[in-house]
Amino acid sequence: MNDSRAAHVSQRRSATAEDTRQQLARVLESALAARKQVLRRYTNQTIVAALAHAAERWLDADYEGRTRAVEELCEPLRIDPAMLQRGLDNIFSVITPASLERLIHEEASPPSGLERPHTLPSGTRARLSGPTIIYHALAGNVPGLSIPAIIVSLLARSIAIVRDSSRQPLLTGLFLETLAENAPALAAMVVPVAWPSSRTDLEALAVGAASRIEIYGSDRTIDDIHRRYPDRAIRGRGTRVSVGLVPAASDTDRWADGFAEDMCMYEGRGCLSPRVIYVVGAAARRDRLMKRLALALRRTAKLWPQRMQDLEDELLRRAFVDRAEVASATNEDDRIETGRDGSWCIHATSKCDMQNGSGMRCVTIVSAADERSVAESLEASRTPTAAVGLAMEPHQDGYHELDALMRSAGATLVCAPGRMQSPPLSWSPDGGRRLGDLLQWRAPNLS
Amino acid sequence: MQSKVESFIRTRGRDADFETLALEVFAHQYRSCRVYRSFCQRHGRGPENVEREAEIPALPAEAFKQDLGLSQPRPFVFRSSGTTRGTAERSGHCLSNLETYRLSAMTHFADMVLADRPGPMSVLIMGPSRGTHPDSSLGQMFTWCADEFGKDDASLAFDSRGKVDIHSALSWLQDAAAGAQPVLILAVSSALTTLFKALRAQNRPLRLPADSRIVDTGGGKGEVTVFSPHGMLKASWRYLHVPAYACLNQYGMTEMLSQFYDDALLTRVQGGLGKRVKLGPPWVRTTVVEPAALRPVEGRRRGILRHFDLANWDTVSCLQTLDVACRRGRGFDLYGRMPMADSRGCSQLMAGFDTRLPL
Repeated sequence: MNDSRAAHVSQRRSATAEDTRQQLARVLESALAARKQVLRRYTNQTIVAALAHAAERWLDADYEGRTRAVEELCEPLRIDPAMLQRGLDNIFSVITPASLERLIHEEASPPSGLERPHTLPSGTRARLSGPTIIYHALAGNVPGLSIPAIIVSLLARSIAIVRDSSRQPLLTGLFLETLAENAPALAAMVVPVAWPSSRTDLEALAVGAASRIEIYGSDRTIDDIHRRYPDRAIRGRGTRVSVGLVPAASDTDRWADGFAEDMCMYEGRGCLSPRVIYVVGAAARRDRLMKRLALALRRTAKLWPQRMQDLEDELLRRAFVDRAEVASATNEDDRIETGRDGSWCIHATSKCDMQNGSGMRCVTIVSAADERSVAESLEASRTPTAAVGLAMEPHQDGYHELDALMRSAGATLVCAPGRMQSPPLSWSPDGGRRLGDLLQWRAPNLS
Repeated sequence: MQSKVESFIRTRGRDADFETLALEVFAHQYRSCRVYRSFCQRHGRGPENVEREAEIPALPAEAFKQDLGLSQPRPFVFRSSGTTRGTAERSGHCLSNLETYRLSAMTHFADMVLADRPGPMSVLIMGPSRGTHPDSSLGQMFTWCADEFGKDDASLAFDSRGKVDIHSALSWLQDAAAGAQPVLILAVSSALTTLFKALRAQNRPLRLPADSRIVDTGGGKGEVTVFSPHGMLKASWRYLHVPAYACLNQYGMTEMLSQFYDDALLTRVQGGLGKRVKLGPPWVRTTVVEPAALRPVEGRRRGILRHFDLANWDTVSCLQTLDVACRRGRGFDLYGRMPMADSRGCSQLMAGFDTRLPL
């Protein structure tokens, strides 16, 4: 299987379940053959080198696959090409030989267990590997969700059936073409599939074939899937929100550009865009950050001009702006700054609900008495936290304590503003171990 | 101000200029409503620099969840049901008196629902009334409709907890079907759906007298899934033998004292044909605007509704809603109201809002 495109199971609304079943069976047969080859011949180093090489190709702005992705993905995602370029850099820059090796060393114990059978303390011979087939169903709000899913599946020697959102199916296929150039067997272990979300009969085929199911989606989507397959263990990664935190010791001016970039990336549709920024200290600090952030958003609007959005997204933003407008007209302490034609909005207030956010370049800045009260807000939130953009340098006094405080409040990523959209490869939104959670000691013939 | 507006309503605007009166109303509201004044000032607008109704800032309907800071005490308060977002998020509309509301509601109801002048009819209410829901503007309006256009005391098949009394509704409808006099049904859409489901379950379609009519409004009140607008028309014919042109969906909101109706009956009376649209009264000017820039949309693109309702002279007339519609003919097609998504995170798929719900 040299051509990864041949493995693509793409079905239209009218496809019959039988057609898909046969097609999927054929592709999985090839994938299983490729997996045998990988298990026999590929070391960790071979896989790391192949993945890192493919990722490196994608960091070249002139690379054909990347150029095509930028040409074809901006329209369905409704984002500016310059923003997508930055997004692709974020996605692929974290895939390096060093980061992949670190991931293996931190989450596979011992790493050599992935390469050959070991004798366990019980005396049995076993090899460390992921499930034979993992079904990944991905959301379409941000591009590239398939890339880390593919990477960890292949490191675990698992076949990955990847169902992207119909909004952006392109990137998976293009990346697999790159991978196939140097490591066709690895590329053949990934089976991109596509069908309308209404075709639950086709979904059932993929679920039936897989030994592990990983779903990224809204909480409602995940609940629906749980209901459809009550007997299957499903790892759901649902809705999360991110926040910013400017601690008492931090300068309010320095981090505005980073927050602006994190807010605007993918128009704030992802869980890593801050919805609320807490500023510890007097209201004047909050208002100061608001002014600086407004300037930064104006600059970002020039770098990444906003495209016409879907009506649904525009309505979410309008609802946010309306609430902020009303609050600022009603409460003397509330402030609002908006971009031209309402293209972005900052609402500064003294109290806010963690749910209060729409993405779409909108954010609430709220005063906080101290860092502990911020942690309490995160803990009390109905929606779990993804990232905290911590406005501090890691070498500053108190950084590690605040990092730990935010993680104890549920944050799964703590990083500097401006870095929230490029999480490390090991990051899992739910705080799990991205690779380690897939691995088990399995009898060599079952690996 | 009140007498000028009421005069405009009585004459349907024949003797006065909408623009002139709108600017007067705006100046009055700018003076008398603190929150609206503050909102206008933020947008750099006031009576001194607004020259046309289109330039008047539209206050988000959301503002009615707060104290608007009105200058005079208001003895009458209507509250939204708050069923979709919880009771803590209910809108309140405080009024000095109910005269303009009654005049506006009854005048346009007569023009749209009784355009063929059918004379007094027996009325069945399957929705709130003044007795069951004293703070519901819809309940007040249904009661006025029954008082003003009913032949005798209206029958109520809806209790104060919002439950429809199907048994008494069916009994009333059976009696009505046995007679020859047309009847008027005023209902919330969820109650009507429940009725149709009961008739379907019993396999007992009824045949109401000719010229009977149905007005439904409000989408889902409670946990009942309502039929689509088209399903409602089909069911009305199938189970009650009321033709589509006599089934009129109303669109209104607590924050606004005037309403909109399907123009199906009016069109028929006027001898026209054409697809139904929502039509407001001459004292309301409605624009479909882009959600981002709030500029009027061009052509038949979808946008959100901005209203200027002279009948709201006592509070705020120029309202920005999140109701999705597109302009068509003399009115608009209504698609739905955006559900306020709690939050959207990492992997949230773009969920479309439900366009099937009639409002």
